[in-house]
Amino acid sequence: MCRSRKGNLYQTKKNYLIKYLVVQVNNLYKTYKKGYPPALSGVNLTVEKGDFFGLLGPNGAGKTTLISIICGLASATIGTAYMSETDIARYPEKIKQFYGLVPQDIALYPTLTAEENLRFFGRMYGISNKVLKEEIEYWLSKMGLSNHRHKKIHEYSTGMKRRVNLIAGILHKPSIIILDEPTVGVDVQSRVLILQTLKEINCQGTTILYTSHYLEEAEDLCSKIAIIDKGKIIKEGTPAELIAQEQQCSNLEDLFIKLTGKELRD
Amino acid sequence: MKVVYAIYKELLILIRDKAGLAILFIMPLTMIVIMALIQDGPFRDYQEAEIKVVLLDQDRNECGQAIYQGLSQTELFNVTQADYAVSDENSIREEVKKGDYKVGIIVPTGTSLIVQTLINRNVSSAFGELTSKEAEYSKDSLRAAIQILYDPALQASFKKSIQLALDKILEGYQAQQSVKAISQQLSQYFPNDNSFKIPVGSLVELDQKAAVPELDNLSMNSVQHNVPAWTIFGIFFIVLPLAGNIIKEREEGSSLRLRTIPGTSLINMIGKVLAYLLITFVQFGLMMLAGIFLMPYLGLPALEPGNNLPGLVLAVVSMGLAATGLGVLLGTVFKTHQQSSTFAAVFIVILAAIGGIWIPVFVMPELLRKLSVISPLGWSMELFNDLFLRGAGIGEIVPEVVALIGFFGAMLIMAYFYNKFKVRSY
Repeated sequence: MCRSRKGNLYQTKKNYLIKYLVVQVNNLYKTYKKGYPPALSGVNLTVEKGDFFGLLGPNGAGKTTLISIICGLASATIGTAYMSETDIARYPEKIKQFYGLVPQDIALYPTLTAEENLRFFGRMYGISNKVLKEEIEYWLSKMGLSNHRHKKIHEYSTGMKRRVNLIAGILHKPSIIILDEPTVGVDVQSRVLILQTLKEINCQGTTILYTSHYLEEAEDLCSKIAIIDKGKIIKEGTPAELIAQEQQCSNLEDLFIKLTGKELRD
Repeated sequence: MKVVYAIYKELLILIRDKAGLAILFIMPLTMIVIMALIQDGPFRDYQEAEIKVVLLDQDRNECGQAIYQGLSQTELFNVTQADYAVSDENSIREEVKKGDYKVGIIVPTGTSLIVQTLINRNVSSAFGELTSKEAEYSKDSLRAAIQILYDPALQASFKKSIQLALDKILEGYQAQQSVKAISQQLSQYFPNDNSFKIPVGSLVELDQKAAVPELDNLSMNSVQHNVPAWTIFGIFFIVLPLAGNIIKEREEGSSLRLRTIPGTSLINMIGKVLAYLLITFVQFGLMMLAGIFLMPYLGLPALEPGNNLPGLVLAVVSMGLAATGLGVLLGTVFKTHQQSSTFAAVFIVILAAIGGIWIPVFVMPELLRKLSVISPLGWSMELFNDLFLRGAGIGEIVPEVVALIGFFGAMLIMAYFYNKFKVRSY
């Protein structure tokens, strides 16, 4: 169920002005070294406003490279990518205001407490002290971390770290949230809380681009899915559409195995 | 205000890093104390230590007395007279060999008499009273020789000191005897004045002063060298925690998050530089306090920090910037904390050695003296020497300050371009 937080929302004027919050990727190629196969090979992708978009693929498929380019952290060898109608390659700094990244690794300072981490990253996003205090209070409470706010991150369990990692990526109310396997290594309780929170944020109109190896989770959450392998998008659509297209597949996992094979990937 | 938060974050991380704090504060403080104590002896040897000398005066006459008085009057030698009745060359040799004395001097029996005889003959010869045959004979048969025995471990400079001192004493003694002999000869030509005398003594005084009059009483000593030297070493050792901090930030992923926040990478880096600059001031203050107040408790002289406070502030800022610049470069280039810390530790020690931190540059071989100009620690040492020992003003320290700030700029430019062209994905 979608929920709004009256009076607590931190919204920049820019967010209101942007009409269509989409990610558009056109014919993207990325080669790291000459003579090696490209990490991305002609990728086309569109994420529309309000989508809960799942980018699925085995290890080494090109997910992280694609996300790096979308986030303006790496450049494409060929092709164009846009975020909120802004050319990512030309304006890599500008597009950073539109998104929040929740990386797979815990991107926090381990010797600082949860509150100190969130306060620092919040200040770096330019959030005022007053709003930041309210936001930190709200999110720590929502994520069940209020009583642990003064504990250092390295004293946290994996699930707790993942929850703080998520808060740090969404604290500034981005228009699009990019998550790279946000539930890896967490217990069921933390996983449920994280996914529930993501659903709520999506219901409020925030676009979510998400990668995962948990196909059941993706099937449940995502409004749209793209399966990527060997640097190419091999299927794209809603989970129901994709499963329906393959008669022998009863769920996303069957489809995934059928499309990417059983060969082990390292 | 973002920079203030970035500084605050760096300080919080640093305060909680016990190993980093030990490297930044305890290590240089320990080095100052240990090195000042170790080098106190050698520094005193060079300048104020009394070399222990044993004198066996078998002559028991004017020459032996002149040597004893001459050596005792200098502050360089601590002279003990051996009992001539029980000592001989072998016993003196044994004492020097054992290290009880650094130098043994034996003035043989009749030395004064021989010197006086030779002088009298020379003077008489000059006055035409002796035949050339007699003068030739005297040269062949009479010879005065004073024996000097050195401890094999004695430095060459000390040997030179004792040799110069004895030369001076003996020349003075001989001059005195010559004048006496000449006076006697002249008295024969002036029978009305039996007490004919030519005054003997130094007619030329040595007027010694420091080039800076206010620092006249100050000289290089163990504390004056080691406190600034190891303060510089400590300041440059911030390279280790700083580079480690940058690498850890990258490994732990927080730098990735910062890269996704507009304009924050630069702010974060400025925050680091300013936070570590602040640390260098704390280090400097702590080391100066140790130099001024702790050293006297250890029986060492107190540090004289000079009186150019703005100059000191400028010096610490430029040294801190140079050190943080190097830390930023190493943190950018190296992939792991272990790589950076190993390289940084060895690199700083080498720069310290050639920069005159361990021992002053002027006592190094020529090749190392030439190499010392490439070390930022050497520039820093020169900067502190200018301020502490030479009473330099701001204008006189500008070359070193510019060099250190230039080094900082060069390091940042290299780090920037390395980062820019490095292939990376998140």
